Amino acid sequence: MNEPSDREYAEQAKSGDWQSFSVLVQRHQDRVYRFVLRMTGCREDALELTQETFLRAFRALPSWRPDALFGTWLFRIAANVATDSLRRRKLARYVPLDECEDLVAHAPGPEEIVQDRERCRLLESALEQLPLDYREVLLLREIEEMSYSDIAQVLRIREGTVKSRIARARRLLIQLYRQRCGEA
Amino acid sequence: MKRCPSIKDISAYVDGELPEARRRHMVSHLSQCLACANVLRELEGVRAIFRSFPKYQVGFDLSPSIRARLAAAPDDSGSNRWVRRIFQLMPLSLTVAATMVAGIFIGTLLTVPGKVYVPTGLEGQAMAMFDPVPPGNVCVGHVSCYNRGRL
Repeated sequence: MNEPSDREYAEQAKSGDWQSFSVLVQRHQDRVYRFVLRMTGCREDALELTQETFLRAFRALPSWRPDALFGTWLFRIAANVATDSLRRRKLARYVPLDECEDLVAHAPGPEEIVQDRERCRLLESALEQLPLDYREVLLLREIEEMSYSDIAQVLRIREGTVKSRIARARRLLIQLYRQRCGEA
Repeated sequence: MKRCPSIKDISAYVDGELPEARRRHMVSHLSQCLACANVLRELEGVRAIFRSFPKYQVGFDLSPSIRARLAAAPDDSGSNRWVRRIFQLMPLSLTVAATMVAGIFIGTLLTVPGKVYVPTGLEGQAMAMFDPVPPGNVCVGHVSCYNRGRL
């Protein structure tokens, strides 16, 4: 038998069924956590903001409509939570990769980690310098692998704006990455 | 050679978001233009690094702590917040209303003729020492005093 979809769980959660909401939390918590972690660069904040995202989602469930994908709707809340938090702090603190090692991750193997570490570090450093709206749109595209249409729904902007913002973000990111490669 | 596509279109091509006709045109152009092929390679390179980022996980189920926070903190959203705010402001608004009613009542006593005790005779003369105008001086008086028959 097929596992019920997000929509079915969300419908049940909407009527107050905590168990259904708990399944949704388990399904989406890692994606939300990764996104918020890349946005804020701090794991303590990311854990806190991930919980805040689900709290807000649970409270906002009565306004959720089944025509909206639950995951997309949830990411809209996560993006707002992360952006609010960053604006309050006025800056994003990034955790260098070396300090991230103790985070729970799917380890791809020691040799691969060694090969990728430097490139990851440089790209992380370049990503840190991107304006918030560029970073946000790139993470949704590159890490979450969302379509332009989904990103447009999450950020409440037009698809054409998503397309141009991603292109500008990539151009700037490559520029910054090149600078760091030159320095390295 | 035809004009090169914008980086916006190359970026959309990388994402598989170009319409079919433009995608075919892009493939044909990229096979002939080294500059655009280099841009494409760079974009794909950055994507490859993104994909090699560690896939961090929370590592435990967050739902119990979210449930605890929900139970501990009252719903601070939408109409509930307004209802609570109204109840919080209730004592203040009652105090303001009572003060206004008292003010209007006292004001009415002063303006309605016959409701205020005005001492006359000897008692009135004795009270004149508290008058801001010393005895013997000329007081122009206020128009409202004429209405009440004090002057």
